[in-house]
Amino acid sequence: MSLIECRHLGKRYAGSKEALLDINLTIQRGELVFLTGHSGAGKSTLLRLLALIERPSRGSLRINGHEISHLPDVAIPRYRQNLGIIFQDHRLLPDRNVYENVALPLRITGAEPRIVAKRVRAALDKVGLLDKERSFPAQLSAGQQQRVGIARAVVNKPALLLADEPTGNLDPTLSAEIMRLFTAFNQVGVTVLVATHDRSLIRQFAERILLLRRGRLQGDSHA
Amino acid sequence: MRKRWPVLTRQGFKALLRQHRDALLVSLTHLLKHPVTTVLTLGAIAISLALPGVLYLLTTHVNAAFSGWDNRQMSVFLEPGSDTQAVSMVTEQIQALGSIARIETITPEQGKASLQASADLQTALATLEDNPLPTVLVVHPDVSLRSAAELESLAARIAALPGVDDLLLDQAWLEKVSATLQGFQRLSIVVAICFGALVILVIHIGLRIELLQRREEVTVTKLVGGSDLYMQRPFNYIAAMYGFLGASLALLLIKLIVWWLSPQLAALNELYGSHFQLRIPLRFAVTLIVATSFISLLSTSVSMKILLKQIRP
Repeated sequence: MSLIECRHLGKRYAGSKEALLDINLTIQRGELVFLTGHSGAGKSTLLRLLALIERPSRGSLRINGHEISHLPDVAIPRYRQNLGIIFQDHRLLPDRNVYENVALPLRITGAEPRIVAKRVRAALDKVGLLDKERSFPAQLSAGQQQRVGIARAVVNKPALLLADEPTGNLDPTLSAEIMRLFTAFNQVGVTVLVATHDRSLIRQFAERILLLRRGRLQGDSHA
Repeated sequence: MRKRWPVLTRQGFKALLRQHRDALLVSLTHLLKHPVTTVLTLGAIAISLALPGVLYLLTTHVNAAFSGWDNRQMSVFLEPGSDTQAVSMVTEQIQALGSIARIETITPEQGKASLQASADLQTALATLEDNPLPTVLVVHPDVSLRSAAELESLAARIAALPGVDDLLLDQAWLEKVSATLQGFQRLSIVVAICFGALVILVIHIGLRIELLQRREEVTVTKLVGGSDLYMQRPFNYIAAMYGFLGASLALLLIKLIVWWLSPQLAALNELYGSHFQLRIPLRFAVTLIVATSFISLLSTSVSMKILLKQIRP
């Protein structure tokens, strides 16, 4: 069964040209997909539509068989609780330590403290930062900060992980390290969609590549 | 089609309780972490409530004190130099008019003694060779006279009697006092509404600044699945605490002002022979606390809904 299904999906921002045009694609559960293209190609817009940060202007967007383009505002938080979102700038809260940053999605759901502690430590263990749980973001390197962001994204055990240029600020070694984490999550069944324009990473890790150009899907290839 | 309401499971209820506990802890931490802001906001709320509160209490109590008076009595001033015989004659004539319960006579000597005792006028009165005060008859109409028109008619007939120099119908000035007090009472409500609106505005602006400072946190929380209600919850607790503590502080302020005014009120009591005491009624205190907490909570809830909608990831 497909996890993501887009049919004639389009997005036009108010007062500007089309950011996405007639996107048709299907992503199966458990796939690791790279979304690539030049700046302004529409990679981030597609991820924003999938995270319901933006609404499609036209077309259909189905997740797990459910049409989400007209999901009521009140239902969006519950939808996002089943997603993991990773940003280029990691977006950690500077006044909270690593543990509290990672625990945020669990606190939102009102999870039991025992479960919060167990899952946060498991997530930090996966990204290799268990010993940094009391540190604050400013005390960590860029790569460590991004790994905390990844731990926060996976702590809720999401079915879909969306990453927008997750290695944009990292050197090649750290980038590869981050990508290996995504591969590891994918191997345990998480569907991963990574937007990047780093060709070396794509060559090294890609299983399936979606190429966007000027808002249109120009290519869909498997490695 | 019948609407199906979501069922809150035991686990869901526990999760909700944990969210509320977390929100309460966050709000308490916030108040303690920003003591200056907390104290200033509480001070603003307390002062805004205390001023109209004192005005309202004063006017209510004074009004109640005056309403206990027999305000139908009239003071009849006899011509200066009226002797005992003339006084008796006027008294009999008044009695003959009917509808009179009793008549008290205040001689010039009694009047002078009363002034000397209660109004600190000994020095001024001592300089006078003669007693300039007239004999006064305080006329108390009986219960059969109820309307102002009937009283005024009786007053007019008494004023026309020979030997009567002037007549003062106490009801007239008491009504004026009462009307003035009612005016002040309404004014206190208007002032309370204005100050209340000001407090709501202060809280709204404070929240806006707070939210702008925490914009990134709000954005991230929204992105990881936090609902507006979730983000609003700590602010709701802060608002309720501001309302509760602000109103309690206002009651303390009112108590202090009442204590500060107590010598003046005692003098007023002595002057008018009344026995009223300015107290804060329990109902007033409870209403003030509950209403302030509720209004603060409601206005914050509405403000937060508007402000959170404006912050988009």
